[in-house]
Amino acid sequence: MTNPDMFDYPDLNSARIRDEKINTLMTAATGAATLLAVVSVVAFLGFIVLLGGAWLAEEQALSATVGQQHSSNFELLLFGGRELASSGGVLPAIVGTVVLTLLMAVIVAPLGIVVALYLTEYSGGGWPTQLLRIGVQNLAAIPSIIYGVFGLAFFVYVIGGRIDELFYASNLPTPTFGTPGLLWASLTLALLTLPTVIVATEEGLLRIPSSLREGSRALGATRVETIFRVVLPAAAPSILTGIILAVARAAGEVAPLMLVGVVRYAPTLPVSIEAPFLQLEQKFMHLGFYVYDLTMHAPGSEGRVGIVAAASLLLVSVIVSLNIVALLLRVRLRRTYVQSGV
Amino acid sequence: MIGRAIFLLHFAVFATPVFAISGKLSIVGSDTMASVLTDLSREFQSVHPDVSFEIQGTGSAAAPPALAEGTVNFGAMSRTMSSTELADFRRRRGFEPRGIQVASDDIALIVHPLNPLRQVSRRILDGIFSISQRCGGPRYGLQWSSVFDELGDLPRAEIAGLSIQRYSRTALSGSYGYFRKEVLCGGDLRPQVMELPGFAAIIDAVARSPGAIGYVGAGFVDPRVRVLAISNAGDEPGSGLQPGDTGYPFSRPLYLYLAQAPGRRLSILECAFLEHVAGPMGQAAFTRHGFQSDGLGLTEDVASVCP
Amino acid sequence: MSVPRQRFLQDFLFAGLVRVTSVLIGLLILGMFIQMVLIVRPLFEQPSAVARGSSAGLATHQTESGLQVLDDTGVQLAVTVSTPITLPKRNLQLSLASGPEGISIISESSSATVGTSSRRRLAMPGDLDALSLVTTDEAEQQLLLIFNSGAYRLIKIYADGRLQSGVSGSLPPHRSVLSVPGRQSWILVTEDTLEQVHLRFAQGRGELVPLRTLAIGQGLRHVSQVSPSRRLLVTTRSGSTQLWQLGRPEPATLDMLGSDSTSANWLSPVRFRVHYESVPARDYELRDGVTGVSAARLFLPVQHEGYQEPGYYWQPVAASDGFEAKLSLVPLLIGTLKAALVGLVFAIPVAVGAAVFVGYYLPSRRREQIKPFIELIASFPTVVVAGLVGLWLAPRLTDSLPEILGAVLIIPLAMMAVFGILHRLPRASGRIGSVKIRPLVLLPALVLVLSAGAVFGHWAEQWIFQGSLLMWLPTHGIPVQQLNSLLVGFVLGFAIFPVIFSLAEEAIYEVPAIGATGSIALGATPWRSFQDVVLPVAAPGIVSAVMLGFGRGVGETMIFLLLSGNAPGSDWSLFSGLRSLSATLAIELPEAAVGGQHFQILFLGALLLFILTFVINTCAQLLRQRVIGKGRVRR
Repeated sequence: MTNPDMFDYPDLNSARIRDEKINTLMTAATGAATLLAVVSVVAFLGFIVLLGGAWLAEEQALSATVGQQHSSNFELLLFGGRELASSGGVLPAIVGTVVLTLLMAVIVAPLGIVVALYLTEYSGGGWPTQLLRIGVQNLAAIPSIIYGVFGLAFFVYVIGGRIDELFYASNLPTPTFGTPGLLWASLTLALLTLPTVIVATEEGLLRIPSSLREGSRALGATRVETIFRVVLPAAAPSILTGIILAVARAAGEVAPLMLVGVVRYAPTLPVSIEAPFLQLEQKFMHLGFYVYDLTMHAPGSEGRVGIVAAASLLLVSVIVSLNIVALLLRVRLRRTYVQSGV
Repeated sequence: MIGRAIFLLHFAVFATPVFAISGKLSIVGSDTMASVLTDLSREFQSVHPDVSFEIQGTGSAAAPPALAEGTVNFGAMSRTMSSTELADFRRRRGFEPRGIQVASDDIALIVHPLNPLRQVSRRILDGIFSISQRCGGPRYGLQWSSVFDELGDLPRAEIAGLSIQRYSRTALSGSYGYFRKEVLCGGDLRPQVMELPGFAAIIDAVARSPGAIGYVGAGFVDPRVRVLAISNAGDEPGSGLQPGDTGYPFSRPLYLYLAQAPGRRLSILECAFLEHVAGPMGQAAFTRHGFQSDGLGLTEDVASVCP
Repeated sequence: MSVPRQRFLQDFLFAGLVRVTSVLIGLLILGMFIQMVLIVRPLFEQPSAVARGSSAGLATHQTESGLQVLDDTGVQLAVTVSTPITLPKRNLQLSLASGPEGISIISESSSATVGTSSRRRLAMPGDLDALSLVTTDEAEQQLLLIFNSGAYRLIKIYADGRLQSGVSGSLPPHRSVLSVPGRQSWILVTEDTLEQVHLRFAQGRGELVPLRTLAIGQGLRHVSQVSPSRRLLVTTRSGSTQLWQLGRPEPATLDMLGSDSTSANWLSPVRFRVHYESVPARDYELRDGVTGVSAARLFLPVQHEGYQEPGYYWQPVAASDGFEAKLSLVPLLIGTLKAALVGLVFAIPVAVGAAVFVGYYLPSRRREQIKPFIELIASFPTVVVAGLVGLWLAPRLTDSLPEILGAVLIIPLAMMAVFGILHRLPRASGRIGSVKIRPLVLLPALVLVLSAGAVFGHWAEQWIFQGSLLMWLPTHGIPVQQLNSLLVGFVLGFAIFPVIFSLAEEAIYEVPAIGATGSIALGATPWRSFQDVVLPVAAPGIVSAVMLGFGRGVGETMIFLLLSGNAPGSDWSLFSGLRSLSATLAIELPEAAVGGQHFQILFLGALLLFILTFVINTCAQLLRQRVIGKGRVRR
């Protein structure tokens, strides 16, 4: 009542009041959206944990298995039984996933680091670099199934077929490498996760102040010495983050693997204690595919949700913990740089 | 040094026991047979622990090319090879593949328990599933009421207003091929037919929506769904046959195909597995999984390939 | 001196390694594209043939089970009816004979299990010598008689061997009839054209209907049989040879065969022999992999044999030999786009809303706690999401469809209502704008609004939709499936919202705070300054985030595979299932014969998907780059 503005500029004032109302509304609306997002994440995680955990804790609720008796559902899941349809236990699937992702990491890490080094340290920033950068960015956006298609057509039929012609000609027409298998699957996944590693490494490389490099060069070190003694050690946490994220991504991918070598049941592990230690041409089981298989094939009634949730719980906990490790690494990394004042 | 290497080499070559069966068996093909094959492989492994298995159950269509390529020991198929597949195999290998029928599987038509249908004929199924209607089926509308109206004597059910939801397997499975060839007279499925990659998923879907109808291998059926009787000729009630009855029209053979070149013997391992499949333990596994396995002359078939 | 040289060499080699590897990776990316193009290319190539000499081994082309008699040039002259026709599927034998009434057909059941062989007879008017074709359909349910005059007659064959005279009608008069594999359609050879007719069933009655005319153009000299891959060779009066692929509107003229040929006949599906007027006959082989699919067949409605009307159909796998593959990519594209769009509708409000709140309203410290948490969902394997949703949520979602639709639809209504209430409040309480929004207040409010929506939906179902939405919709022509586009879209939305959120939030957060804080200091409300200061700068980033989310949705596979039902319908209805490109690739590619037509078309699908995501992504990147190029300051 005493505010003279109210009477002198009624339009302005009502506009202000209107604005405030809109502001309230929008704050509430966007807040609600955030809340919905957070709640849905929590609900989903909780759903998996509760359902899967409950099933795992059950005392062998389902009928006895063929030939073997398990004391708990956890054991049943690990070693398999009739309730899990054809899929056997989850154990070979876990081993398959681990071997696959490790092999993939071994392939993708040097490639990713080298490309990132090229982009940051070597390239002059001309059009080839731009082209490569666009290519890598697009690589990240290509649907994973396309990688599977490419892996099947190129790695399996072209490269694998050629390897068979050259080295395993005596076995033909039985293909050795010209058929989907572990090696091709890990190569496909390596290509799929390449952008993840490149981007993370590049980020780490860019964060290193150029003064470090210049100092090293000024002391007489060659470029390669600078890279190996100064730059890469400093960027190591970023690279590690990238690799961990790549592994997490690879552990959860199913669609491309369906084309390049995953099978529903291959209890023979692709690793052995004899040379050559790894059966690269062998087909393998995978945790994500195992979940898919259980969802679609496991016979039985409502209890299936529990089994699927339990297997999902395994997969999700691996992936989430990998992601959390990567996140913590990144946070620590940032803090280190902040503390060191760089 | 060299002497030692030679000694080790000797060891590697001769130390392997000759009589223990070992090696890898890989089987590709029918998804229907995958679970029983897994059971069989596990039993087999308990006798021969040195044998490893690789079983891929993507669909029967996967078996002929894999067998022709020579990637697998056995191709599991829930139908016979088509003449195109046979021709393709002949072209690539120069001889005929050998199929051994190990069991037979009935295809059961299932609906939700609320559905008043008890019995269907090929004609009705043709009307429900097919777009080309080669068996001369009627062209039904969207809702179940059009089916019930046409059949006449069914009580007006509460589900009459629901959409007809049709479930099928994906195109690669032998059951899909069998269903189209034998039930739909070689016709095509309507574009509205849902294709799911597993029988368990079809049973789930049918058990959960009252308007659904689908087909599954009889071994998969569980009490949450109702199995329809099939009437062979007309639609007269009471004449229908249930899966498992003799003369049930939709029964398909389950085969293990093998690529045995003329004059070549099967390996000891392959024969041992076939003998296991034909033996009492193997046949019990088939029965346990809901397949019929009697009266096929399986033992003679196996004996003919493994003298 | 050797040490520096060694170091120099080391440096040089490593630089070379880095460059070469990077170039190789670049080439690999390019190679992905090129390889797909190479695989797809034969689809669109014009067929051509290479000479193979005439001494090569002859594989005789297999004919159908004794139903037609061909002379050595491949044209059917007349039907001999002395040999009975065996119907293996029905355990029957049919024989035709001239009778007093015209033609008499005798069916004999050869079933061994029955023991007694039953014999039945049907008499019908007609002249046995005027017959141009006697055959059955694939299922051996109908006996088809075609006469030279163009008259035809369908006779139904019952399981017990009973015959019943059915439909009769007339077609153009013709010289002879060619059988097309699959026994669903036939080609009538008239003086100058080839007329394809197909057997179509409607309400249990079959009829023979013209399908298409193969316009030869220059007059007909000779026609080959139809090969198993549905091709036929036509020799024109001018002596040139045309290769027809049934289903394609145009023939390919094989110029390399010369122009004085008199006839051409198949020896095997890809080999054929050409006879000439002047020179001896020669053998040719069609070039490998040439399938000759026209773009029209992939993207326009096609009339298929035995179908009621032209349309878009995807049914590539043969049920039986001689199957006409249905290969329209339209249902797959529609399915993919439909689900991705529905997914966006679900994802955008939540993702962008949360992005604004987290990137703009929230203090940085809180932001760093919430953002990674939401982004965690992006790393979830979609197979887990789809699997659990399919098993647990899908049935519940369909059961309470009206309630859920109500809850979704009420959100904009609720926002409008809240705004209306605020607007109508007396001026003095305009200060409400400064009330802090806390989760503890919001959460119950959200729950309240959503449950009000659900109650509204329930109520609407009772009163508007006559008690059941699931029955009301099909009554009005909209089929409802349990695995429907809404469900797929909903789950897809859940999978892509963290992607959109993450990128949009970054776009908002990266706008320098100084503009917004300055504007607030001058008296604008936070939202006003967001709208006028932050949004114009961040908008391209947000749009690019949405585009990337769309690209992600288009390429998702497991959600489609498990939840979409994979029904290749080509409608835009939200309540029916769909089939996506990606799921089709996952299902069909592993088993498609390498190099075959199906294989190539699947690669074409993959190429389309590749190009689609590539274009979307490049546009989104350009949009972002443009914004970054504006030289903004990071805060």
